[in-house]
Amino acid sequence: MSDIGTAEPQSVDYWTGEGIRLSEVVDALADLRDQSTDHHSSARTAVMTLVAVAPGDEQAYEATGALRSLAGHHPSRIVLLRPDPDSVAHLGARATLYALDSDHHHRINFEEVMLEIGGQAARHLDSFVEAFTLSDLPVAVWYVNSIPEPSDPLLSVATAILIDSRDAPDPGQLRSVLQLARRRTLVDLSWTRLRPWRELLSALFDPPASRPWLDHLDTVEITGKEGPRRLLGGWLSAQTGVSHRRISLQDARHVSIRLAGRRDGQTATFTVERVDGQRMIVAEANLPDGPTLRSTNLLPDDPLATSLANALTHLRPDPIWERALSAATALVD
Amino acid sequence: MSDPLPENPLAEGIEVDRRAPPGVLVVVGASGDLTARKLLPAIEQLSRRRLLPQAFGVIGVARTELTDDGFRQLMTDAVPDSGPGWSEVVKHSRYVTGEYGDPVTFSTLAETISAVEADVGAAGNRTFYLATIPAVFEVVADGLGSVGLNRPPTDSTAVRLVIEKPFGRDLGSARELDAALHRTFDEEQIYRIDHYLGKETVQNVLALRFANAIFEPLWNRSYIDHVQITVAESLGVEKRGGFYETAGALRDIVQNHVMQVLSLTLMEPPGSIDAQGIRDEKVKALRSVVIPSPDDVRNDVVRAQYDSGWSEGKAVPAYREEPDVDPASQTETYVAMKLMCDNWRWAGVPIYIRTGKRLPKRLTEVALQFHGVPHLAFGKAESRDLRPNALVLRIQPDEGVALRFGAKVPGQAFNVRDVLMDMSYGSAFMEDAPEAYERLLLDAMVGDPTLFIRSDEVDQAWRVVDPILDAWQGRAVPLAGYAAGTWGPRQADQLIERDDRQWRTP
Repeated sequence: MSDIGTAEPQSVDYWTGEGIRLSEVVDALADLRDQSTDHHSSARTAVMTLVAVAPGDEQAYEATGALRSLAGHHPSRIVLLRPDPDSVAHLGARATLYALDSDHHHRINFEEVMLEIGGQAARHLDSFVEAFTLSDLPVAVWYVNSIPEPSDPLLSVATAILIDSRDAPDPGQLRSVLQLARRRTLVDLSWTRLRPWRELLSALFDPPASRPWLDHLDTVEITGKEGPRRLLGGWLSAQTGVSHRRISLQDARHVSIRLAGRRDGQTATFTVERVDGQRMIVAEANLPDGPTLRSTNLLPDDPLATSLANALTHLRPDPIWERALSAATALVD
Repeated sequence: MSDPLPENPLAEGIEVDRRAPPGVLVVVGASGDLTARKLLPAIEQLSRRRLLPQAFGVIGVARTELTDDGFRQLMTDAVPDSGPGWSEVVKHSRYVTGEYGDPVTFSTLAETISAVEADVGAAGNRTFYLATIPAVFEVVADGLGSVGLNRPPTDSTAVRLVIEKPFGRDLGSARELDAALHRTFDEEQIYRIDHYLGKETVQNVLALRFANAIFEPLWNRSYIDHVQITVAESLGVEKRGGFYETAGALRDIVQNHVMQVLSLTLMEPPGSIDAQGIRDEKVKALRSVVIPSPDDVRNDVVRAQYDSGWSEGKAVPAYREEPDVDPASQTETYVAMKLMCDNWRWAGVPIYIRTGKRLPKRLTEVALQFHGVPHLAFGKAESRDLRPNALVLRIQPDEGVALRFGAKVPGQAFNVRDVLMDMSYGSAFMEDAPEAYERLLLDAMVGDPTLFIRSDEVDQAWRVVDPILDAWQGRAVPLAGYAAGTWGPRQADQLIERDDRQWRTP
């Protein structure tokens, strides 16, 4: 799982308009690109169109920051949609050209289009997005802090849909996400964010001395916010077959996993925990009459951008996540 | 022998196939430059990327007297900005001092390996990396074999031996080395490193050719006029004069790096992108290269040595004035040659190769020059700037792909000229690719030999190069000179101009 670099893209040129037609935004974007070519800007390389649906100011700010930071990993056209179906009908837009310079004297150019859409048209976002999708490339649609309705027409434009199951933590909501996942390619940012914990826990069971303990798990304690702890519990239940009644989920600020196994009167413990006050997690296995396995890993400085970058690397259905989600719906706190 | 270990269900879907299994890495020659400069930083990067197992230990072996703590300090010093996991790796490391010819060295090593495996919980996967001079490969392999370290302790574990180029000085010595290693290790256990293959962009040659339908139909004699492979270095021999005197450009670059790039360029599409599929096709391609006769060597191979000159704005000395170089040295620092490949795809397509030190810039590229159009309908004046199409695979630096094609110059007249469509990987992806050693070390520990050189590949590469060495020994080919900072001697230009072609200016 790669961390995101710190380079900041710079705005090269922009255009804004209020009370406009969509074709004006398309023309303005083309003009901006032409003008940048006059200034000998580098050629554009892109791997996808990234669409974010973020109605609120805070969501939009968070989303654009994260999306722009992805340019070095997933050079894309960004389309930020700010729908407000309850307001009067209108269209406002801002088109911006960005450049990101690397340490190696390379430049990546990308475009960002922000659309403020008021009125009933805000319920038909697909009709806005199609004008900006890059030909023949995947379209990833990220619902920032929300879960889409199955009938949302924007889903039909998406090659893959990015959601965060943290926004749908209770079993009923998780079941809705699962239903959606069976019809569309869904990528869960929570699942991607939890990958360091999953990796470290999994690696504790790589050595032959610890592998047999997986069949003798006695207690499984998972702490964290509701969505992540439930998802991890579902994953452990689905992958190891450990009974639901042995899994205990508790509320906490940070995620931690503690497993205890018992066999032949002996106990082994396996933990993955975050170090207090640090962006670091520690995994440790204590085996009876065996070595203590310990490893540490840093968490990314920008977890949202990093989990987005990693999610966009795997835009395909994940059967392990679906199994974890399915098992998670049956877990109780 | 124990039962195979059941799969780890928690690893499913985490793409841990590239994570090394629990085991130990033994670096023989651990006090040397390669270990500190390349291997230890590569191991640290693997730790940082969470690609090392938690049950993992490093053991250093060398003649230099060092304690365990001394080796740990060496590991710490080699990676000044290490991540948090490095201290755990360092903590479990050990060091064995000893002569490679002394059996006690290897019995001590066997005991140390057992101790580290018990300490970290590793089960017997052992990777031996020989970061030594090639002269001791055989004695180290024998030493490992003498205490049974050449065989895995259980059915579910593996022992691998990693060796660095050069693999022999000629075909005979390469075969002798192989025979010596095969006394103790099976071919499947031997991982021959050519770090060129660990470069992301060398692997990209495979991606470009076999993941895109548009190139492969053109990748043959019907469309390609000739191929040019350039491996240029702007530096001189620096502090490696002593080594270079025994090697020369042909052994140092052509026999390995160039032959690897050549085989990836010429090979047929493999049935599958795996170790056997790729290496079988590479061997077949090398086998098709026509062995140069003594006459071919005289006519189609140029050897040269750099004189003093100007390189990157600095006055630089001649090769013979470099430290540790014989003032009357006949060692070549430049080779240009024409090879032919006798198979259905490449018959009649010349492959021009040039490599050298103190050339104007550092670069490696493969250029496929296409035939011209059968009839150029434009007038001579309108198309004077037009050349046949070329597809250039830039391997280093500024890795990418460029396609040269003709386009109309805007205006009333119908002038056409060349334009270059240039794709730079750096402008498409800013993600840092793993360093070659990092990639190859992990592959060796995982047990993926795809990017390592098989015995028969080494054999085939020497089969092409050996007749050139033989001819040179008889002084049949004079040593030309070229000014440092230029693209090589006049004789190299004449070699290609005889065929009515020209070297590219990269």
